[in-house]
Amino acid sequence: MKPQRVEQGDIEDLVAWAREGSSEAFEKLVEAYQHEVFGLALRLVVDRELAADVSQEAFIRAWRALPSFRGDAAFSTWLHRITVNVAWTLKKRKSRHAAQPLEEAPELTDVKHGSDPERAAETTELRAKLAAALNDLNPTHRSVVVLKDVYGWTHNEVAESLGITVTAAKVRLHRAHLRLREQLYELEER
Amino acid sequence: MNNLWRHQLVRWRVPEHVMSGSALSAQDNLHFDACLRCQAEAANYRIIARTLRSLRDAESTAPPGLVLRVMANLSRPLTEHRRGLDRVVVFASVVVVAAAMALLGRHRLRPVS
Repeated sequence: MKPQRVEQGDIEDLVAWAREGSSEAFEKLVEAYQHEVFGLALRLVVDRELAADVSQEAFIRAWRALPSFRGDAAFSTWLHRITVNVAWTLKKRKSRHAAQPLEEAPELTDVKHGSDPERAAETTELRAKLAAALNDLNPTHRSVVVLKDVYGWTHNEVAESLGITVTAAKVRLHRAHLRLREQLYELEER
Repeated sequence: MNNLWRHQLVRWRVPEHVMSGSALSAQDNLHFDACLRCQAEAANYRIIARTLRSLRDAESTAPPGLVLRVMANLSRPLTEHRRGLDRVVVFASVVVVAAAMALLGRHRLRPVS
């Protein structure tokens, strides 16, 4: 199933209607963003069941918070921030209550295949290795990489969202990069 | 600053230079342009950066029924609020039971007139 594509203008109208209390408009927004929100949650928590809970909670919080959404940031950015906060909360709660099972790499499939099958295969293989290396990072390092390098957030946005200083975000990012590089090229040498 | 020290410094700065676009100083650039090892390191990080960006394009499919679950739960209290309310209810119950027991105890202890 592919994520539903909705035009930006439609999104703005749906957000405006939903802010006025239209659950039908909000349902359309959930339909449009469910895969994106679930994908982000899955990258952060690396557990499909928990990612589903995170997605559900994030949308419910978004619905409650919609009246205060002023449109300073794009709706998707705002929704991503809520998702990150919920992911942290639920992840912490889960780790307090249960021993962590061995985590598996999220099942994500390529959207862009490219025209060269050999290159596409190499890219897919590299992507799988990197995704595995990403999952091996500790959660605090993984979060900064996912938000900064995968989703393109700024250092400030990452720091604000995770409740840390910009310097701390940069330090974590640097350590995570070193670790990724080490893991990726170790993997390739085998 | 000797060459080895400069090399180590540039090698340390390469990840952020490539991944976050932080600028190298003029001296760092001089070393970088002449050092094949630093250039190879930068190439590794460019691959990592490109591949990480491409992860966003990887499609993940939300579990079936997510929309229905969300819509069915829009009117329920949030998890923490519910947990908070649960705690309040438990605390209030304990207080009521304790007060009742205390009253009962005082009543029993009161001397018969």
